[in-house]
Amino acid sequence: MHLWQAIKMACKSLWTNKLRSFLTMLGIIIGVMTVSLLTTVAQGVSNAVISSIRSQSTLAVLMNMSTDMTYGSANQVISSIQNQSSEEDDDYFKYSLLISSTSVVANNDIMNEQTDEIDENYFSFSQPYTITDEEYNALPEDKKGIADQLKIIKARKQAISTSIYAVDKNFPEVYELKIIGEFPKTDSEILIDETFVKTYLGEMPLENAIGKDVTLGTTVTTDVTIMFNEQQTQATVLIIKGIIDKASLSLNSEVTLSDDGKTITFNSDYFRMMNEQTLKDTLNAIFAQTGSSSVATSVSFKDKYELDNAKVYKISGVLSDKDNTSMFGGGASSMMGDENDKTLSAMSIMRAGFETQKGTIYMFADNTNAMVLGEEDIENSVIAYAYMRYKTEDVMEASINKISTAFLPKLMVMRDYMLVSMSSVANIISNVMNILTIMLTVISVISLIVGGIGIMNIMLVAVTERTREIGIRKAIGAKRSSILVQFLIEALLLSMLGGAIGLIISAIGTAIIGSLMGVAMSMPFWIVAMSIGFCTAIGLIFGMFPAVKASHMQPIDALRRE
Amino acid sequence: MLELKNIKKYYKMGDNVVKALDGISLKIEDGEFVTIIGPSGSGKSTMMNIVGCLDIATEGEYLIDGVEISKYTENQLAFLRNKTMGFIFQGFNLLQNLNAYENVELPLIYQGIPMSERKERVLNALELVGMKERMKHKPSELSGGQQQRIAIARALATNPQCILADEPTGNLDSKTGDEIMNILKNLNENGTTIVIITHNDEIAKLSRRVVRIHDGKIDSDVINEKIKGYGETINPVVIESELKPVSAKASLGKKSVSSKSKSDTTSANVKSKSDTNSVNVKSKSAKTDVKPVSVTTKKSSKKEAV
Repeated sequence: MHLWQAIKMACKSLWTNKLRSFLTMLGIIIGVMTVSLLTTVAQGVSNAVISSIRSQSTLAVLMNMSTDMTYGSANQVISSIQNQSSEEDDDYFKYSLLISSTSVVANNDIMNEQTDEIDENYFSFSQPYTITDEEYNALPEDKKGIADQLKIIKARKQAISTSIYAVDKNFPEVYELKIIGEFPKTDSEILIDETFVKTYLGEMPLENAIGKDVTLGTTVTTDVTIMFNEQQTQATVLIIKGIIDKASLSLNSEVTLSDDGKTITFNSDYFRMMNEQTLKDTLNAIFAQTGSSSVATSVSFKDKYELDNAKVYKISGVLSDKDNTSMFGGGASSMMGDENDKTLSAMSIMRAGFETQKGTIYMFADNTNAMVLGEEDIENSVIAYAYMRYKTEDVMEASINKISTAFLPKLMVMRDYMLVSMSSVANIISNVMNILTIMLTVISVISLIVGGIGIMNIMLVAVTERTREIGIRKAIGAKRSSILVQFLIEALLLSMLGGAIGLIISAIGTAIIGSLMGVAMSMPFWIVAMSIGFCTAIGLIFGMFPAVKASHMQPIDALRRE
Repeated sequence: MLELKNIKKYYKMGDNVVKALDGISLKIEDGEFVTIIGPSGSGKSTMMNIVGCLDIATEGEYLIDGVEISKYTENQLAFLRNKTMGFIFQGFNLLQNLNAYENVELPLIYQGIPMSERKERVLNALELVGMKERMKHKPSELSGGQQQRIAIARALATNPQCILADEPTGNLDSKTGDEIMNILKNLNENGTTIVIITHNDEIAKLSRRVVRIHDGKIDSDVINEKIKGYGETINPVVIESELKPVSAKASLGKKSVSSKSKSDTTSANVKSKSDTNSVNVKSKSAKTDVKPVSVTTKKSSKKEAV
C-alpha cells in the first residue's frame, strides 16, 4: 500500500470525526502557540532593548573607579559618626576629617558571610587604612567608642570627588544636553556642567564661565600648620586642589577668626584652591579685613602635595540641561545609578552636608584614543568615572587593553575600579532573555507531552471503537503494516496539524502584538523547526502504541465484535 | 481448489476444551457452488474462518491449490486473503465513512494496484452488481440489498478464486435475498467458486452441493443433480466421512459420477458457458421472476428491509 493512500485514508477518518480531531489537536495547538508566541515576543522585545542600547553606547566603556558599595558604606559610617558627635562641633569636625581622609570601604555586603571577614578579593586593589594606635590613644576617652568603630574599618587614603567624563563629540547630542559655548577642540579644554559652575565659581551667568581656567589635581587631606604671630595652630583640613579662580579669592564670611585670634574656623571649600602660599595670603587678607591683630606667618602642609601634577584646563563650554530630561541630568551620573558620589565629596563632609552635588567635568576624548588625559592625570586627578565612546569595537577593545595595562595598575594602588562596557550590559540582557527562552521551551515541552498523551488517549479509544473496521480491513487483505501505518499517520497528522495551526495562530498573534507594541517581531526559524520536529516526535511516540495495538488485532476477533 | 484434511479447531473456555471443528475433511473444486449448512453452534462459522484464511486450524492441513497454509504468518495470510478470497458477510461489513466506490476500491489499494487500473476494476465490479449509479453513496444512504451488492462488488474486485459468503441473505427480505443469490449464481457461472455458509435450508436448496455440519463434524455431503449451472460440469469429490479418512484418490474412484480430468472440465466449461447462462436465466425466471440484475435494483431498493 502506498503512503499516499494511507495519508488519504487517515485524512478521511480524521475528517469523519472533525470535532474530536480538533479537540485532540487543541493540546498541541495551545502548546505550540504558547511557546512560539511568547518566545517570539520575548526575543522581539529583548532585541529592541539591546539594539537601542547598542545604538547608543555599545561602543562606550564606563570606567568606575570605585564601587557603589564603597560609597554606600562610607556614607553610613559617616552618618553614624555625625549622629554621635553632632553636639560637639570641633570633635565632629575632627572625626569627619578622619573619615574623609580614609574614605571607608567596609560594608556588611562585602563581608564574607562565612568567615565574617572582609572579602580580600574585593580589596585587592585598595590600600587599607586603619587608625594607628598613636592616633587612637590621642583621642579623648569618650570618643574612643567612635574610633573603635573606625578601627575595624579598612579604608583607603583617597576620597573621591568630582566626576570627570571623557566623552566624544556625540555625547551632548546622545544625552540631549545643550552646550553653551563650544565643544573642546584641544585636550587642554574641558566642558563643565552648570552645577559645577555653581559649586566652584559661584552664581554667575553660565556664559561667564567660558574661558576660565580650571585646575584638576589630587585630592589631598593633610594637617595644616599655621603660624599665627609665632603661635602655632594645627588643624586638619581637607584640601582639594580644585579650581584656581583668582576672582574667588575674596573674603568669605565662612572663614572666621575666634575672638582671641587663636582659633580659625573656615569652610574647607575655601581651601580647595589653595597652596601654602595662597592660604597664607588669604588668611592675612582676612585678618586685615576683620581688624584682627593676628598674622599668619607661615602655612605648611604636613603632607606635601604637588600642585605641579595638576593640570590647568580652559573651560570651553558649559553643558546645560534645563529640561532635566537627560540621563546625565544635573550633571550627576544618574545613568550609572550612583548617587552616593554626590555625598561622598570630601568637601561636602566638611560642610556637614551630604547632599551637595559637586558637579561634573566633561573632558574631551577624541574618537580613537581612550582619553586625552594622560596617565598622570588619571593617577592624580579626581576622576571618578571615565566614560568613553568609540567608533568601532576594535578601537574600544584596544582602548580597554590600554587602560587595563597602562592606567589601571596605577589606579589599583589608590582605589577600586570597575570597568563596564555597554556591550557587556547588552550581553547581560540577552543572557537573561536566553534563560527566559530556555524556561519557556521547557514549559512548552511539558505542555506538548501532555498534548501527546491526549493524542494517545484518543487514538486508543479510536482503536477500540474501530475494532470492526480493523477486522474488515484485515479480512479484505490489509497487512499488519498497513493498519499500523494508517493509525500512526492519523496520530502524526493530529500532532503536526496541531503544530501547524499553533504556529499560524502565533504568527498572527506576533504580528498583532508587534504592531501594538511598535516593535519589529519575526518568528525565529528555530522555533518553527523545533515545533515541527517536536510535533512529529510527539505524534510518532504517542501514536505508536495505539497503532501497534490496532495492527495486532486478529481479524476474527475484530470481526466478531459488534 | 480448496482442500481441508482432518481439520480440528479447539477453543479453550476455562477448563473446558470446545471442539468447534473435530476432524473436517472436505475438498472444494474450482467453480463449485457449495453450501455449508448447520445449526448455530455446529462450527460452521469456525469453518468459514478457516476456509477464508481468517483463522488457522489447531490441527490438520489446509491446502489451497495444493499449497499447505497452516504455517503461514499473519501477513502471508493477509496476502492470501487479498488475492484468493472474497468475503460477503451477513452484516455487509462496509466501512461507513467510505462511499460505495471507495469500499470496493479498498482491497485493490491493499493489493497495490495503480490508480487507473483500480478505477477500471472497481467500475466493472460495480457494474456487475448493478450499483454503478450509486457509487458515490455512503453505506448509510443505501438499502440492505444495495449494501450487500456493494459488498459483493468489493469481494469481486480482486478477481478472487473463491467467494465466501456468511449468511449473505440473513439480513435481507426474501425477495432481495433471492436477488443476491442470483448474483452469486451468475458469478459462479463465470467460474468463481462460491461457498455459502448458512443455516437456511432454502438457500441450500439452490446449491448443487450441500455440506451439512453438526457438532464440528460433517454430517452429509450431497450433490443435487437437479441444480444446473457452471458447477454441473464438475463432479466434485465427496469424501464419505471422517470415520473413514480415505485418501482423496480412493474416494474419487468410488463416488464420483464422472471421472473427467480437470483439463476436460475446463474445456467443457468454456464450451458450455454461453448456453448454460441462458438456461440458467430461464430456469430462475420461472421461479423468482428475476430480470437482468441491473434492472432489478431500482425495484428492490424500496422494499428491502435491513
